[in-house]
Amino acid sequence: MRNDRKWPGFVLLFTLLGTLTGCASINKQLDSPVRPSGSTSDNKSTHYFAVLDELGPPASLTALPEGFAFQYEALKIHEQQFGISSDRPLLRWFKLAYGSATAMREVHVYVFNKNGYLQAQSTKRLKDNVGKGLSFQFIVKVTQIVDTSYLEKPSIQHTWGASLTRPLPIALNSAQSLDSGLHGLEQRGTPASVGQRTLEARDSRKNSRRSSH
Amino acid sequence: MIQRLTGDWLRGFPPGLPKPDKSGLIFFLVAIVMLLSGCASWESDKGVEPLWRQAVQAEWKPGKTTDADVIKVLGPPSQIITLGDQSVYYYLREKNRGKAYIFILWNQTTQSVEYDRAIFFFDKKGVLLKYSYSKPVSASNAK
Repeated sequence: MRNDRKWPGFVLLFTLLGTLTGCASINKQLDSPVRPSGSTSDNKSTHYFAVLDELGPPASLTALPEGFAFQYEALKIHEQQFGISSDRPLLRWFKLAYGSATAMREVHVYVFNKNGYLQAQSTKRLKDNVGKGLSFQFIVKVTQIVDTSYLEKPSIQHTWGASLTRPLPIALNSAQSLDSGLHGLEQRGTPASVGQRTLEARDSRKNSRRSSH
Repeated sequence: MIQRLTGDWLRGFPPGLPKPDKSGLIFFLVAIVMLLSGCASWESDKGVEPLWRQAVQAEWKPGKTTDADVIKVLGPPSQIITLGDQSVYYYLREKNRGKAYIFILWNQTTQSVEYDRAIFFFDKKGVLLKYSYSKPVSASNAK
């Protein structure tokens, strides 16, 4: 009876250890959000100098037939995982984990005419459910279950110099490339199966990864 | 060693509370060790060297500075873009930082990617029109 009083805490602790193992919280932040004031956002007489002074360099920019455009982009990804395990001899080293991920995105686009004056501006802040998944993992491994790599593509500026050494479908598509700063802008996470990327025949992320090896 | 540690700890146990026995305490310490199983942090940099943070800003004078002056001080840019009759030199430095706390019951990882950018706009003669640097990362984002 005396031992019964002392052990409930330990019993609870080891029950938790034996079952609720491997819960995880994974957080990623890509770039810092910008905070434009109303004066630069809505004013058609705003020059791009004022936008640069207020927000700094854009994440990407492109030439347009009648001017150019800036894009500012920030992203936060949060994945919550809930894991359970068994106390069976071999199974105790593994966990069954369920993960659910959300992405908070913020995108600002500024379109300027050829004289550098603001023609159009748009801001979008949204929270996306990126996906859910189930996995069977080693117990001390913390890895994302939901694939968010398509949102985390590296900045195009890092690979710009090697753009013509990429796999053939991408190199041949360089005249329409969204990465060059000459043929348009693209938000992170845009599927590769639409628009100019369709000419690249395969997923550009896999191609660029392959070319870097 | 463990016997000595647990003995010392039990002697300092607050009066009035039921004292756990030594085996229970050893069990508890083992549980703590299992819980606090690992921590990690990492940091990596990518891109061009951020020389614009060292260069004296007064060196850049719109209307006077040329593209050759900028390249001489900052080196080759990450990207060169043609915007109609303007050209743009885009410099980018990426800092990737992360932390992980790996326990048995609870794991947490945080990763942040920050970009330090410098951008220079030149006219068709290569004379500087405008330049801009990234704003310093705010305290809230610097975690």
